[in-house]
Amino acid sequence: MARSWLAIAVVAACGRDQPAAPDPTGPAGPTAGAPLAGKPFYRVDRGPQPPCGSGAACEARVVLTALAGYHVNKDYPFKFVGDPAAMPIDGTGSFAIDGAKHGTMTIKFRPAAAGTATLIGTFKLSVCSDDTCEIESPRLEIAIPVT
Amino acid sequence: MRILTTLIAIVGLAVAGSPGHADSKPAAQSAVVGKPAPDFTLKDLGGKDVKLSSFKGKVVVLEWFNPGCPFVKNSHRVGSLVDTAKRHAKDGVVWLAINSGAPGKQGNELAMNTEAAKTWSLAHPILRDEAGTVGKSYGATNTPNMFVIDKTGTVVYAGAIDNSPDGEGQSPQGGKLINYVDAAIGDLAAGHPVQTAVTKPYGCSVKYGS
Repeated sequence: MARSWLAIAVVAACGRDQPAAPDPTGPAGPTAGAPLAGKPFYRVDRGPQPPCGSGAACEARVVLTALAGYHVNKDYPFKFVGDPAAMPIDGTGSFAIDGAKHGTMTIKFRPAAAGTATLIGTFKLSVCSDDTCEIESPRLEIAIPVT
Repeated sequence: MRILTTLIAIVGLAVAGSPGHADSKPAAQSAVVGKPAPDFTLKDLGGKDVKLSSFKGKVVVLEWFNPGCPFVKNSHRVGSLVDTAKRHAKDGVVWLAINSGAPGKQGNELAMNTEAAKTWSLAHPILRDEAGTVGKSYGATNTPNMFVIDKTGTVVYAGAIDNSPDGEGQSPQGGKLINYVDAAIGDLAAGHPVQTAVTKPYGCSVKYGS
């Protein structure tokens, strides 16, 4: 009995404010790897990266997944607010909802040189359960290979 | 021709009912507008009775409130509810916050409400509606959800505080921030009908018990 409680306590402690485990119902969108941000009720992953050339209009994609009993808040004005000191981006991104549990933020930018472009900014997002809504503003750092 | 008319009607309904459309007319909000405000007596955080009809002859604003809701927090911290009640109090407008959260639900705790009033320097009462009776009589669905009552006791506005559904006032639909309560009170002061009488509220759901 005591062993069971210990196991539950360890699992609970490990789960606090850590990026959550992958959602088995997730779309094909997110790429493999560690999430960019997350909590027990959401996670943000890299999306498929289209080719990006220096001087060209490029896109970066991040995929929001609502976890557990949460869903993407369809009424929320999702934004990616770029860090002024980092790579300039066009506007505040555009967000498309892919069903109740997922949404994709597309961020447009134009890298000046080949190498790695690093987008840094705040992803303003919201997910809701039947009982509550959460607004989160994780800071993301997205490295994009530029040819 | 009949097919075309039907199609236009379907498209019109779809646009009016689309989520996030500020001009949509949610049924719950529309139900009370133009009608006498349902009277109520609720207790404030200090246990004192507050009766709506005792304010007849004054413009009254009802704000559905939940200090644990992030949209309410944003609105009071940086958005359209910052000092709005105080500003209108100078013109004799009565502002009543109502918490319809049931015991055990988010934002219901007395201490949390007291702390929020202190943090956000709220001079107006926060009324406890734990049974949710008053909230349901107005069709309050969200926090924040605003209702404006004119001097005759008629509900003249129901809906969102503004057109920026992040609660921060930083993402106004259409590009220009509109505080719908300011606009409604302004219309009343000018002596003409409230131009935008119903909007779709955004935010958290009201944490009713059942």
